[in-house]
Amino acid sequence: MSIIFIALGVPSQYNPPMRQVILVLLGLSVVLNAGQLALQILEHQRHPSTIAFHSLGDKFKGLETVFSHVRAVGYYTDKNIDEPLVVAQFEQAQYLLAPTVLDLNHTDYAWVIFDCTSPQEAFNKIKELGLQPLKMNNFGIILAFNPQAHRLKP
Amino acid sequence: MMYLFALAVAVALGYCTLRLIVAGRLSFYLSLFLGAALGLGIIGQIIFYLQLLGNNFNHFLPPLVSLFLLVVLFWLNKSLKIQSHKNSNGLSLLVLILLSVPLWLEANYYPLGGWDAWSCWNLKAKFIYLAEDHWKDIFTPILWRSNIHYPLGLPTINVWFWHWSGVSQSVPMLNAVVLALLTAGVLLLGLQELKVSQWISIVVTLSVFTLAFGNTLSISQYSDILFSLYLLAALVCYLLSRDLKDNRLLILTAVFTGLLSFTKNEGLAASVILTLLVLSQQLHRPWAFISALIAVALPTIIFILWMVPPNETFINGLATISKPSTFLRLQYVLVYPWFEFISLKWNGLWILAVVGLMLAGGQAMKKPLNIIGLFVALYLAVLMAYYQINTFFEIGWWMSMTFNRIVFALMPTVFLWLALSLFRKDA
Repeated sequence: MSIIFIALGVPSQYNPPMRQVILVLLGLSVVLNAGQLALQILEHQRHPSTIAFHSLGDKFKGLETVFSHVRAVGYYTDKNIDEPLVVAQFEQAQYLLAPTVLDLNHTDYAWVIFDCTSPQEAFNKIKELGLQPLKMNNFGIILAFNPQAHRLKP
Repeated sequence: MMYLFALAVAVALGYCTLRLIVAGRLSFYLSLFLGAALGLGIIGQIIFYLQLLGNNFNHFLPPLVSLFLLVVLFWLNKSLKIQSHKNSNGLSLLVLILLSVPLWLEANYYPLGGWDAWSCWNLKAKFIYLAEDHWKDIFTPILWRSNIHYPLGLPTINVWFWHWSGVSQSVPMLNAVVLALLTAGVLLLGLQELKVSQWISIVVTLSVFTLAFGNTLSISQYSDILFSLYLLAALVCYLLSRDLKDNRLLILTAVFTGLLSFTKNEGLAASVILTLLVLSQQLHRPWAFISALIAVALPTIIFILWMVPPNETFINGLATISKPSTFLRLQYVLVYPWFEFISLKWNGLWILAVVGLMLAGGQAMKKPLNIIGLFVALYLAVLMAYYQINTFFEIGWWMSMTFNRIVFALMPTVFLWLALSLFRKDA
């Protein structure tokens, strides 16, 4: 053991056994950590698309060009916003569309995004609010226009 | 390519500034790593000040001001006589290059980073860079989920790189890797400068930076790694200032403490605690330290006094009956950390650190090393008090989401303390 410590540069007067044990344990932790890290990386390389919440913002792609000079828009959802998946989708939409501010469940803006449990629910709500649906994408996200919008800034 | 240019400007700015402060006192590579950390902070502050003055991201001024400053620094450095240090850091540099591989691979796996990356840090950067004169919309209460009261250190750094390479997710991704490598480099080279052998420094650094969970948090694009870097840099400089009996290094401690305050709200708490501890240990001529600290912490002071919106996620549990701060909550707050420290995701490293520090005994609590222990204890106490008082969030969920990041950011500093207590050549 002493030979190892001399090789590691630990002065001979300063290597009581317990300190040697700590150093050995640190060395072992490097081996354990590195092994685990390698396995984690291999797993991630094999299954690159398994990350939770990582492509939710894609559903809103294209809207950033529509909102390029719009300061704030409404975002309506009838889903439970306390669900992690729902709030993650909202926040990723916010990130994708920034610097346009998305006002959750407020519809008195010129533009309102609808992300509902079904397109029918969304269209019912749009009709109820007196908005005009403009476009729906493959993910069921609907963009509507509010002809009576009076609140254009947050 | 433009990313590398932007990084080179930041590193050169920091390195030249560092040389002006502590000419020739530190080895070249440690100066380079500390200089890079400092340079990123300087760049962030330039962006912040220009944003304040112009109320808009000006595409012309940040490069102009930075390059002008760089020319001035080069000119000032020309007259400095620098002692050359003969160091054989080849192996240490090889270790850092090897560490960059897992960081890079995992960063590519999480291109968007963790939740707070898209919800908070990179969102702020997008507002600063893209929102023109309504960039302060980032502080609107509508965005309360995005920690609107957090300072702008990391976002302003990301904005600098976006300015050169365009808005892309690769920038925060690369910055996370760079910040993690700088932290590892400061730990590794700082230990050697503080008289721990190269091999032991490598073992200690690898034990922290090969941890799979730590690797994931490092590349999450959160400000925790920036916090970790500046805290470590401040403490390395402080210990070196005591070791080399050189007060210029104390100025550098103040600089990194100031930068720490602009990383996140916890960074502000940490910088206050660190300042009080440094001043309590170093009462002789404190004005240079305090002046440097105030100068560098000026963005934080401006942010707190004139910009920060009310924290929408704060309920004072001591002053409300609807969501009071209960004894049950206190029990949870006091018990949870112990379960975190023994959690399997840390592979026993915290247990090892505690056992090692207990073995070191008096050595760990001797001045000036005891500053780390006192800092960790006070910092955790402040955070525990905040968890107890702020009852906005359900405590179980809140601590499970955030406490692991807090202890991750402390890890390099605690292992610096451990290694210096046990393995310093002249201990």
